[in-house]
Amino acid sequence: MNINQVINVCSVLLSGIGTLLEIFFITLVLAVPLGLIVALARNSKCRILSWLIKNYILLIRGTPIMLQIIVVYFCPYYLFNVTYDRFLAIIIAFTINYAAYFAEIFRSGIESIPEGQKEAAYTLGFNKVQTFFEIVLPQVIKNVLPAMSNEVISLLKTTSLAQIIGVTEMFSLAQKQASYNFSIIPLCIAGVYYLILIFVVSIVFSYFEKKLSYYR
Amino acid sequence: MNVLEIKNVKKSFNGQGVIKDVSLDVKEGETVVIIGPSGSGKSTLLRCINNLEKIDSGLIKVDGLELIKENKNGRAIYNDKKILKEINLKLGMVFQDFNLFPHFSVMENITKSLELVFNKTEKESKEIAINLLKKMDLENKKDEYPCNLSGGQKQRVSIARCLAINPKLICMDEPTSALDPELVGEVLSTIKSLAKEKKTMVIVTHEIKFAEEVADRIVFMDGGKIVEEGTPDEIMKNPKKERTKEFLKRYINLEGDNVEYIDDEYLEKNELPAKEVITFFKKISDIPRMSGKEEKICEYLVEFAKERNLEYVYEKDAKNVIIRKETEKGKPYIAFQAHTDMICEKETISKHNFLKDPIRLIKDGDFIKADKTTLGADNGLGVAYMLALLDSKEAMPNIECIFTSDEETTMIGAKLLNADDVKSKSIISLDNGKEGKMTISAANCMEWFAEIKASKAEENLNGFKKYTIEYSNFLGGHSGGNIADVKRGNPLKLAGEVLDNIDGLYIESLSGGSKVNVIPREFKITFYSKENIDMLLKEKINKQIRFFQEDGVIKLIREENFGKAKVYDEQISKNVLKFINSYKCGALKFDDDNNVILSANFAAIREEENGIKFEYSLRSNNLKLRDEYIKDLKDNLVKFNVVVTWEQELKGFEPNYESDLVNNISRVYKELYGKEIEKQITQGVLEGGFFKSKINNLDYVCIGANTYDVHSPKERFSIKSVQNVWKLIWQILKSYQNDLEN
Repeated sequence: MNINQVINVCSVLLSGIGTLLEIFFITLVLAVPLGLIVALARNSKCRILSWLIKNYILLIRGTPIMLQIIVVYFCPYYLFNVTYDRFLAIIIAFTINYAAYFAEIFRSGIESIPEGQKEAAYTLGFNKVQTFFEIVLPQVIKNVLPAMSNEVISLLKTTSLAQIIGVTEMFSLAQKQASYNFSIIPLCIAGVYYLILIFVVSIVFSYFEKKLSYYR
Repeated sequence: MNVLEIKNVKKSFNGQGVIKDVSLDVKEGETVVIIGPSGSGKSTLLRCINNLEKIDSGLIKVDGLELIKENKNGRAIYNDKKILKEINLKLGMVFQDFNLFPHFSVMENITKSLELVFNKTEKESKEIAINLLKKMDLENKKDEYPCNLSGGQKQRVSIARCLAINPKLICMDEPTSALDPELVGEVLSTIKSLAKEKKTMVIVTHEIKFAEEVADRIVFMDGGKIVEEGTPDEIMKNPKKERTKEFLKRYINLEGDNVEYIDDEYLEKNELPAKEVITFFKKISDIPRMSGKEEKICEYLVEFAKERNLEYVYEKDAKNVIIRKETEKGKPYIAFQAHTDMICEKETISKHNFLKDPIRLIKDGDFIKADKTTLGADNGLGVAYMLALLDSKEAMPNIECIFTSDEETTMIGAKLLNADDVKSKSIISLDNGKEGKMTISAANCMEWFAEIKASKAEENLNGFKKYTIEYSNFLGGHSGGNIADVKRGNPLKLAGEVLDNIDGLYIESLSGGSKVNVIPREFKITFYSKENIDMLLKEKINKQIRFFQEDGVIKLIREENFGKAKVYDEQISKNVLKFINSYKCGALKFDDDNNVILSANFAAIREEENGIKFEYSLRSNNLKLRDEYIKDLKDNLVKFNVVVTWEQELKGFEPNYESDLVNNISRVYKELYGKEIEKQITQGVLEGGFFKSKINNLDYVCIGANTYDVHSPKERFSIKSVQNVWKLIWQILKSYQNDLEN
C-alpha cells in the first residue's frame, strides 16, 4: 500500500469510530446503574429475586457474548416474526451483558465496606437510603474503580462484535479495507486507534482514582 | 428515673446462649461499667440495646419507650419502626474500632447526621461540631480526614460525633481496645470528663483501673450472666463471688504485697519504728479534724491532759489547746507547736465523709498514706509527736505543747492565741515537711483586692478585628511555695506582656485566676482593635508557646466584627493593661543562698457589674524590701485609677541565723547525723509570724519529717523519716536537760 492509500484507510476507519463510541457510551450509561441495581437485588433479602439474579449472572457469564447478540436480535424474529433495529439490539445485548459483570464488581465493592460503617450510620439515625448514598456508595466507588477500568476497557474492544449482526463500526471497516487492499495494514491502523482510545480511558480512570485518594 | 431498663434478656447464636437472662437498670446521670472476660456477652448486650443485634426474649426499655415487648410465649416482639427510630435517636454508640466515615472530614463526620437526620442548618450543625471539637481539644483537626488522625484522636472524634446528637444514653463498646497503649490515656480522660458532667453511660471495658475510677456502678459479667454488681469499692475491694475475685486477680495486684491497713490490731501485733508516734497518729486520725471544725480534736486533747493530770489551757474561741508537763518546778519550758486541722481532699470515687469518718491508714512499704483521702500528716504528725512526748515516762525538761487550730485556711488559732497562755520563749514548730531542714524565717504576706471602676458601653466597632487570647492548663501552684518556678508562668502577666504598648484596644471581657494565694492557671481576654495586629500578637505569643509548650496552652483567635459591641472604653482598657504590666510578678529578690525573699503574685482578674476586680499579693522575708515595693505599687495605683477595697497582712518573721534555738538544734543535728541541718527561708506564711508579733524575744523554728504530696489524696509520709525526727526531738530535749543540770 502506498502512502495515499494508507491515509485514505485512516480516514475511512475514523468514520467508524463514531458508531464505536456511540455503542460504548450508551452501553456504559445504561449498564453501570443497571449493574448497581442488579448487585443490590442479588443481595436482597427476597430469596426469589436473588435466586433469579444469580442465574442471570451465571447465564450471561457462562455464554459467549457473540451468542447473546445473536439471540437478542434474532429471537423476536423466530418467536414473533418481528424484526427491529440492529443498533438497538446491540445496545440491549451489551447492556444486559455488561450489567452482569458490573454487578459482580459492585457486589464485591459493597461487601468490602465494613459492617461497622452501616452500624455507625444506624446509631446516628441515618435511614437506609441515606446510609447507602451518603456512606456506602461513595466508598464503594473508590473501591471498585480499578476493577471497573478493566471492564470498561474490555467493553471498548468488544464493540467490534457489533458486526455480527451487521452493525458497521470501526473494526468491520478495517476488515473490509484489509480484504480490499490485500493488506493487514488497515487492521494494524485499527489497532492503533483502539490503543489511543484505551489510553484516553486509562487517563480518565487514573484521574478519578487520584481524585478519590484524599482518604484511605 | 431509669434511662435504661433491661429485663430477662436472652440471646443465642446457633443454639449457643450468649446472653442468659440478664436484667439491668441504668438511672439518669449514672455511669455503669460492664467488665468481664472475653466472650462473656458484654459487648453483645450493648449491641442488643442499640438494636444492632436482635434478642430472643426479654424486655428492653429506653427512656420509657419499649424497644422490645414480649408476647405470650415469651418471644421478643420488636416495637414498630417509628418507635424504634425514636429510641435510636436517644442512643449514642461509641465503637471499639471508631467506625468513622473515612470519606468525610472530621467536621463532616459530626455534622452529617445533624443535617440529614436532625434537620439542622449547616451553620447550626457546624457550631455544635466546633464546640464539641473544642471540648475534645481537636479544633485544629476539623478539616482533616480520619486517616490522618492517631487512634486516640479518632476515638475522640467518634465520641464527639456521638455527643453531637445529644443522646440520652451513651453506650461505649471497649472504647480503648483498638488503641496503642500510649494513646489510651487521652481517651479515658475524655470519658472521665463526661462522667463528671453526669452523662448517662454504659461502658464495656477491659480497663479495670479506669472502671474503678469512672463508674458509679460496676457490673461483672461472665458466661452471659451478671455475676455481681455494686459500687467500685464493693466490687474491687470486697468482691463476694469467687468468679469475680478470680477475674480481678489478673488485673489488679492490690498495689504490691506490702500494703496493709493500719488498725489497732495491726499496731498491737507488729513492731514499727517510732511506734508511739504512729500509734498516736492513728488515734487522732480516727477523729475528724477538718479546718474550722476542730472541736472534737480539742475535746480529745483536753481529755488526754485530764487523764494524765497535766496542766492545760483550752482557748475555746480560738480552739487552741496548750498542755504543759512540768518535771522540775521553776525551770524554763521548751515549747513544741503543731496545728490540729487538716486539708480535706479526696479522690472523686471516695465516699469518705470528713465530718465523721475516721481516716483509714494504709502502710505501703516505708510509707503511710490514707485510703483515697488526704492523710493529715500535715500537721497530724506534729500533734502525734507532742502527744507521744506528753505520754512518755522518760526523763525530760519541762515541756509545753501548743495545739493551734485552722492553720490551713484562716490561721485563726495563731491569730487569736493569747500570749499569756504561753510560758516558753522557745518554740519548735513541727509543721515542716522536709527532714534535714529547719525553717528560720517565714514570709510576711500582704494580700489585696482592688478594682478599677468601669462599666461597658456600646460602641460602634464596625470593621474592627476581634481578638481572643486564651491561656489554659498552666501549672499554677501555691504563691508561696512555687513562685520561684519560672516554668509555671502567670497567664495574667503573659497576656499583659503580649498587649503591652499596643494602643487603641477596646476590651470586651477578661477573666482568670482563682484564689489570692494561688498562681493563676488560666486567663482569657477578648478585645477589639481597629488595626490588624495579627503579626504583632503572633510573634509574642509564639515565643511564649515555645517556652510553655510542655504544660500551658495558648490560643489566639481573630474574627471580623460587624456593627456594635459592648466594651470598656479605650482609656479604661489602657489603664487595666498598664496596671497589669506595672505589677512586678514572680520571684523578685533573692538572698545570698538563693532563697527567694521577695515575691509577688498577680492572682486573679474578674469582671463585676461596676468594675474590674484584681487580686494580688506580696510576700517578703525582709520588711525593708517590702516597703519599697509597696511604695512603687501605691504610685501605680494612683496612676491607673485603681482603688484598694480589701487588704490583710499575714505576719512573718525575719531570719535570725544565730539564735540559741537555731544554734542548739544545729549542733544536736550535726552530732546525731554528722551533717549540717539546712536553714530554710520560706516564702510561705507560718503561724510563727503571729507568735513572734505577740511574744517578745521569742525564738521560733520549724522542723518535721518527710511528707509528700500534702493537700492531695496522694499525701504520705515516710516512717523512717518520722523515726529520724523523733530521735532528733529527743536529742534536743536531752541537750536542754544537760544544759539545765550544768
